[in-house]
Amino acid sequence: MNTEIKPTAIIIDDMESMRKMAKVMLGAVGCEIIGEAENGQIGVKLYQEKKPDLVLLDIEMPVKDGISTLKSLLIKDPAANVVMMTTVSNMAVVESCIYAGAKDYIHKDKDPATIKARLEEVVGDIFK
Amino acid sequence: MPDDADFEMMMQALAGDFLDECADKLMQVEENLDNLRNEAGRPGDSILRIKRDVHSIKGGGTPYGFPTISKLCHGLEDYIETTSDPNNVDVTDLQIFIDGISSIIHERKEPSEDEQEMLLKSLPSGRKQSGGTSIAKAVGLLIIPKNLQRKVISQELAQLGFKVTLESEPVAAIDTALVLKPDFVIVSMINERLTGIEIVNMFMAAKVLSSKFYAILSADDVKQSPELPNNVSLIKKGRDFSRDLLTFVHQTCET
Repeated sequence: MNTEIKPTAIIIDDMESMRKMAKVMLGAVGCEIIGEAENGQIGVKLYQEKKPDLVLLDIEMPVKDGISTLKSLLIKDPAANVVMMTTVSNMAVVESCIYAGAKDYIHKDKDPATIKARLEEVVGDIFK
Repeated sequence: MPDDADFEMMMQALAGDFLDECADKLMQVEENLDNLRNEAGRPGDSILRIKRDVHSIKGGGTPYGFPTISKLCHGLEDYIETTSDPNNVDVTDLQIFIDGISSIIHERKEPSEDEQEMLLKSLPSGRKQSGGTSIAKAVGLLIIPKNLQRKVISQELAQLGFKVTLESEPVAAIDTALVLKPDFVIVSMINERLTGIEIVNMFMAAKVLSSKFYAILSADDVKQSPELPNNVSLIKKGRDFSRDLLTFVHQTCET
């Protein structure tokens, strides 16, 4: 029996279909998905409740956007592993997120195989 | 672990959910378009909500096998960015973008390459004539990092009647160019991963893009660079910027 402990993850994105995609991807790179939220406000509460090893966080969301969510998460847990999800046109915002303490980012507007490969690399770097 | 082919299948299975969710988002967009038409609420708020919904849709287009949806959403974002007063955009123009997205969602089918090109070229620009109608003389692709300069150039070109598409990432830019086949391309010399000259050479290596007009936007006189092809123009930042820009774009209209 495989007794390897999987890193736990939550997904914060306002699009349900993007959360579904992220679930498939994270599952495939060896993570256990323990929760999801449709905006940053719910996401921060979920993080405190579940204490996941990894957060996959969208940048553009209603109610509380990705950058302010990132900041709230890092205030509550400076060691939080937060990975931003973005489209390619948002690179300036991504840079701000990295400066603010996000571990890495993935482009979500790519074909599935590219997203999976990138996610594998990012998760590998965080949990090596 | 599932391989890439399994992923494609999983994503295809979820694509229907994505399209359904997009249809819901588009209903919200239509409500905000109605608000703009009826002058209900603050126009800036409606525009912000439209931008947010369209941005949400944009992210899923490519992974779910509908890159044209992403391109139309990108076009709408560019349209709003190149319109000098975002609070006073033409609702009819916005509706054209939304109708394009909507038609793909309802047909549940990615358009062919020819259909894509036709669809993208038929989109309005941010420029308004005095009668309120958009015109588009030529299509320009700007590959410039997001900054004030990009805003100034894109608005200036839109004011002149050019349809402008904005990219900040070279790989995404070449993908856009292959579909859009722009009449001219303006590339910033300084970019995140490649120099402007490298990007121009990469574009010119593609047969379909080799005969387009190219200009490098730079503070330095890069014309001296041996890597720069002879027929590439220079738009120099500073005193001669407007003159260089106008000379370059008029050259594209004359042919």
